[in-house]
Amino acid sequence: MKVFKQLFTVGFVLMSLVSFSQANDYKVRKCFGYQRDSCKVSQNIYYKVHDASRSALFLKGQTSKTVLTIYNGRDYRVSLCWAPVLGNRILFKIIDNETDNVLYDNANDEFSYDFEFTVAQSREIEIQVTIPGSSDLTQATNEDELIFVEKDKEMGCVGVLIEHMITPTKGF
Amino acid sequence: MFKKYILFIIIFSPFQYNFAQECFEYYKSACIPKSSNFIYTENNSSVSFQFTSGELKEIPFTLILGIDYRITLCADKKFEDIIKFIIRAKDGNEIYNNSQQNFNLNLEFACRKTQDVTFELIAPEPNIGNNDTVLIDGCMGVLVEEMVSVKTGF
Repeated sequence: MKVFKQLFTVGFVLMSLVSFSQANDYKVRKCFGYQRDSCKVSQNIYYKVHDASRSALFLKGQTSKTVLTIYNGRDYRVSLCWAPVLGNRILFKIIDNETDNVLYDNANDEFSYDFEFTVAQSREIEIQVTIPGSSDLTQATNEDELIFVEKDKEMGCVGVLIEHMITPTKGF
Repeated sequence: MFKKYILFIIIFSPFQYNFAQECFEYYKSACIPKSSNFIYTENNSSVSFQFTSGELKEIPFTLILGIDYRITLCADKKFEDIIKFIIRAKDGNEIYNNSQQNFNLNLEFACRKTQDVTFELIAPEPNIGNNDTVLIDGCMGVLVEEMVSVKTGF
């Protein structure tokens, strides 16, 4: 009986954790953990998920960026995932935070949703995400106007999954 | 004398009383918003009332910066979903008029400043025939919902 009780308690806690981790919709935590639940991780087992991975609610036509420090001697993989309501492609760029040079633009890479690279020099970069399309909310200028936004048609979650590993040695 | 008698009957008739009863919290059963991934909560300004052809109903309301609103209007079938809905600012300016939007009865919006407005609801004019005027009487519901504006972007 005691074992049964313990099993029941453990089961209940596990079920609660599972339901919490799936709560990545807008109702509960607004895209919380979306990148963890929806972005495909690399098949390379040496990659570890970076703490800077994040997700957010985006509007059609919106651009937003997040900063990441990358270190010499490491490989990085940046991959994106997004809610279907935002369309079948989104744009992302990797920009040098100091010089504003665009280091990568997925528009020149068939709108790829992921990018892997090796760092030769530590630096700070921005990952800039742009959702194609437009929304009244991103275009509104007049304070007096009401801004009509059909949230379910114009907003969705975007996840940015960042993975990293020590650059493997090449050759003997 | 006869006219007064008719008026007395209309005002105090059980039919009239029943209509008022019928419309009580009409919006709760009739105004069903579209299912959404976003949670709105009902605002206390939601109302139901009896509506007659050509009637204008005004509902004062305060829009608050940082709150998103969803308004669902629902009317008796007799009105054929043609209800004019205007949001008028305090200075008299129209800030929304659904007659330019095919008499849309569902709207979802955000506002950029806190302001007092009036929701104006206008029932269609009565049908005027050769010999008589047909007035339509029915229930009207206004469901007002709100949610705190969501942050977007990183």
